[in-house]
Amino acid sequence: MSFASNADLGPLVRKLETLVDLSDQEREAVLRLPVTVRVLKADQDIIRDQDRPSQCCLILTGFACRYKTLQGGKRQILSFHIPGDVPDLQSLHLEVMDHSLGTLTESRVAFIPHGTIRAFIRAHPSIGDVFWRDTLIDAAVFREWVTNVGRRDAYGRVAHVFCELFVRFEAVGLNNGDSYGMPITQAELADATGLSTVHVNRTLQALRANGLIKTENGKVVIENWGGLQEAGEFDPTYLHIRKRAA
Amino acid sequence: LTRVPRYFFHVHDSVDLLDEEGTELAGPDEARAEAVVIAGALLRDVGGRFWNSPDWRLWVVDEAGRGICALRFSAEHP
Repeated sequence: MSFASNADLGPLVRKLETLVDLSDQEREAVLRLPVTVRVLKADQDIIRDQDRPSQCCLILTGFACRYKTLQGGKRQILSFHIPGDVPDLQSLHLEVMDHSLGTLTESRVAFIPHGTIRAFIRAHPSIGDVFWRDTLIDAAVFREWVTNVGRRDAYGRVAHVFCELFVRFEAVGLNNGDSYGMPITQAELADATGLSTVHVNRTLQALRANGLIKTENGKVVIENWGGLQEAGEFDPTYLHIRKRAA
Repeated sequence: LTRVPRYFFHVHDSVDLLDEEGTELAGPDEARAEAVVIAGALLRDVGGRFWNSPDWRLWVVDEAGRGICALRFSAEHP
């Protein structure tokens, strides 16, 4: 299903406002961006490794990930993406995709042509700075994930991922108090943390048994935020979130 | 369309932790290979705590509950 529309681009505004203050004029301009919206089922590719895209995608609802596939079918999830994220912003300057981007749950995705974004940045240079800032933070997240997957034990890795997502959901106002929706499977969490499903399963049991989180119906409930941060050695500085959604 | 078999990797360290999720693998050979990989990763995280309950073991069963393999570590220190 695909349709052009005056889709509500509120998620993008909320995301950008975690990075800078937008003027009323800039906010209006973002909301008026012409986009094409598609509804994608779970586990569908949005764009694949080696593709040469002519547009960027904005997650409006749902949950997506960037990933690489290895020989033999193994997969590494590189990052998770939530509403307001533009996970393939790099395609504006790097012509060929060096990884894939896909949905994890049913998602509404807005596509914005590269030409539109370029014209938009020319008309609003400060938005160009925001996109640059977002790209730098993207790199900071990868540095954190390399550290996480390379050196932390399973308990710390999984705790760190839960901490990061909680802070990111909260920043765009998509948390529900101490909980947030994360309807992904243990196999997907395993692909993100470089662990086996069995190891993730045991780790979740340990995090629950220690009273740090509860998981229920695709939701993560933070039971002990301080304890979870400590378990994941989590310091949110690398997310560089300036302010939280009202 | 053949169904991919599912294997369950149970672990005993200080307590029994049963795998209720299971993992899809092509067959018993793959399950036996995966058992070694999983045991290695789990033991790496256990580290020195291993000595608190050195009767660590991992065993694999298929969906019918048939044993596929068991890994035990023979551990001693003077």
